[in-house]
Amino acid sequence: MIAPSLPSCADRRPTRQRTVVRAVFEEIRRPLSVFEVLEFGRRVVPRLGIATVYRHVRELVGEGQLIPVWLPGGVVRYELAGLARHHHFQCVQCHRVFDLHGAILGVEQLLPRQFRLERQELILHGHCADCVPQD
Amino acid sequence: MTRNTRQRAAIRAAFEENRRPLSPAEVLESASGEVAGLGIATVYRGIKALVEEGWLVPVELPGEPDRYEPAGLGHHHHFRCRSCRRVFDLEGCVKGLRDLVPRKFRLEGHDLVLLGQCDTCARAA
Repeated sequence: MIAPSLPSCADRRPTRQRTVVRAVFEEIRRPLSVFEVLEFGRRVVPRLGIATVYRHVRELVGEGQLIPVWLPGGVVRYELAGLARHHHFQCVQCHRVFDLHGAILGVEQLLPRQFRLERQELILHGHCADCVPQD
Repeated sequence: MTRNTRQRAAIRAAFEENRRPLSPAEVLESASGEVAGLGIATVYRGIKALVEEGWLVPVELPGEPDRYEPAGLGHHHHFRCRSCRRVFDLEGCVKGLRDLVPRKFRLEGHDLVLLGQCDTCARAA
């Protein structure tokens, strides 16, 4: 029997996989679907499975380390919590989502009188550099 | 008018009167006075049929069930009140979007949703 103070194999593997799931977000630095997390995570842990990725993403969301990203009509994506304010661009071709930094103008002017603004969600669409048609 | 047509007309009237995106429950609340015996299942069916006909389109919102609005309203954005959960149309648009996008990306459209409190709820708070 293994002494309780020593992490068993069964304990160690999920922790390592969880670390990999989190590290994928830190390295790729854009909102990712669980399928993308799986794809990148398998480069480090080839035996990583989709169910495991789902579980760790769900746990990380529950702990507030990841947050879901709103995308109309799309598969849900996640990003690290606490990032500086930014917007998103989704490619209509490859469906990848990219972070955009910088301010937009005129948001306050859209508000009807006496309405109070607390948060905004902006998604830009188009073709990313890899998918822009060459014409 | 058949019963079905009357129900459909009441649903359309709810959108024309309220002039903002509505959930099925809001349609029911607005239209139930017009047609006797209108229920939520009928409203859902009616909305589905109007979407299929192209008269209504779904309005997608962060973390919320879809609302619906008449098709062809032209470019506009939405505001959702976190207190009463009503969704309002916003006129006008924002500037500076092109400057956000990296060179070599091609910008083709955008969706913007503002969240906060409407005038009624902000006053009550």
